[in-house]
Amino acid sequence: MTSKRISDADARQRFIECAAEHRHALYGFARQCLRDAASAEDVVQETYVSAMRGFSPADPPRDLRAWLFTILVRRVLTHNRDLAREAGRIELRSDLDDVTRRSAARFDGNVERALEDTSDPLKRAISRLAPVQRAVFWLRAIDEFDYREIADWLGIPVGTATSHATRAREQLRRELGSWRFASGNGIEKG
Amino acid sequence: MRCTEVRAQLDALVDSRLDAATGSDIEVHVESCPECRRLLAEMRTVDDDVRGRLRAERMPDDAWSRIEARLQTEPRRTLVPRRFATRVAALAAAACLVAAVLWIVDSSGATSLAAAAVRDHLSYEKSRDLGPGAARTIEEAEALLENRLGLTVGIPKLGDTCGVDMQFVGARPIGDASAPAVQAFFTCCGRPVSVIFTRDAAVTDCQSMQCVCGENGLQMCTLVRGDLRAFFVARDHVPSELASQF
Repeated sequence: MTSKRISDADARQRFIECAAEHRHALYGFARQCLRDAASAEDVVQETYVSAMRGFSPADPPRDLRAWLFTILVRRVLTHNRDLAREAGRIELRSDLDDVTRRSAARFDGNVERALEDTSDPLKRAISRLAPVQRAVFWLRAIDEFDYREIADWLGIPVGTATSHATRAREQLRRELGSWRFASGNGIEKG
Repeated sequence: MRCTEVRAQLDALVDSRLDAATGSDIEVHVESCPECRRLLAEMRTVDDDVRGRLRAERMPDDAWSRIEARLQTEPRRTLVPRRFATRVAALAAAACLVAAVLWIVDSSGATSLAAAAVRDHLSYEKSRDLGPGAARTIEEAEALLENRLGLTVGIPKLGDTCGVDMQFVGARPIGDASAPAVQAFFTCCGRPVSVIFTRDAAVTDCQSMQCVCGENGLQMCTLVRGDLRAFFVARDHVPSELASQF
C-alpha cells in the first residue's frame, strides 16, 4: 500500500492540461443556464478550482468531463433559483404557484431582454424554454450525457428528464422548423 | 406500423432512445412513407442545425486566461490535508483506495461495522428517522462526537470538501458502551453517504492515503489517523466483496 507522490506543481499542471479541453462545454452550459456571462465565468471558475483540489494525477477520474459537469450542475443549481425550483430542489407551497408562475414569466422576460442578440431566432427560441427544459436539453443534445446522469445531477426522475428534453425539442422544432440556417448569418426563411 | 404510431415515436428515434427492433421497424415504415420520411428529415435537420450552432459557443480567451491564472495560484489540498485536526471535511479528501480499505477492514476485523453502516443507511433512507439522541445541526453533531467519543472534530460544511459537494443531513449515536460510534449522514454529489466515527487505538496510522473523492462522489473508504477512524460509505458504491454480505 504505497502511494505515488507527485509534486504539487506537476499535479496542478496535469489537471490544467486535462481540464482545459472541456472549458467550452462547461461554459456553454453555464451560459445557457445563468444567462449572464460574468456569472457563467464565475461558476465555471469555481468548478475548476473545486475539481483541482480533488484531482489526483495518480488516480485521475475515469471520465473527467462527467466529473466536471457533476460539480458544475450543482453549482449552477445553487446560483439559479429558478432552475433549482423547477428541478424540485426548492419546495414551494401550492398557494405560491401563481406567484411562482408570474415570477418565472418575469424571469423569462428578463432573460429575453438580456440576450445579446435578440434578432437571433435560435437564441430567442432557446430563451423561451423553461430553465429546467433548457438545462436537460443542453446536457442531452449538446453534451450527449446519458439521461440517468442528467436526472441524477438535477435530482429529478429519469422519465421527467426525458419528458423535459422531448418538450424542449418539440418547442424548438415548432419555432424553428420552417426556417433553415444559413451558415454564419443567423437563419433565413426556408 | 401505422403512421400515427410511427410519428409518436419519431422523437425517441431521433433521440436514440428506442431499442434496435423498434427503431428498425420505424425505419422500414419511413422508407415507404413519404410524409413520415419528410417529418423525420425535418426533425433531424432542425436538431442538427441547432446542435451545430449551439456547440459553436466558445469560452472567451480572456475568461480562460483568468481561470488558468487562478488555477496556477490557488492552494491545492495535498494528499494529507493540512487542517486535519479541525476539519473532517479534509478527511474526505484523503480517503484510502477501496483495496486499501478492505485490507484495513479485514485486518482489524471491523467488516461488520462497515456492513452495519450500509444497512443503517438503507434503513434511514426508508424511515427518515434518526432515532433518539439524534443531532440535527452541525453544532449538535460536533457536540455528539465530543461527548460520545471525546473527539474534537469539525463536520464538513458545503464547500469545505475538495471537489465534493457534501451536505450534512444528520447524525446519531450508534454502537454500545464497549464500542461507541457516531453515524453522520450526508449527501455527497447527490448521493447518500454515511460517515461512521469510532475510536480505535489498534491501528495508529494509515500511510496509503490517496484522494479518490470527486469522480463519483465518495466511494466506500476509510481513514485512520491516531485513534480516529472514519468510514465513508456511499450506498450505490458498495464494493461487490462487501455487497454480498447484505
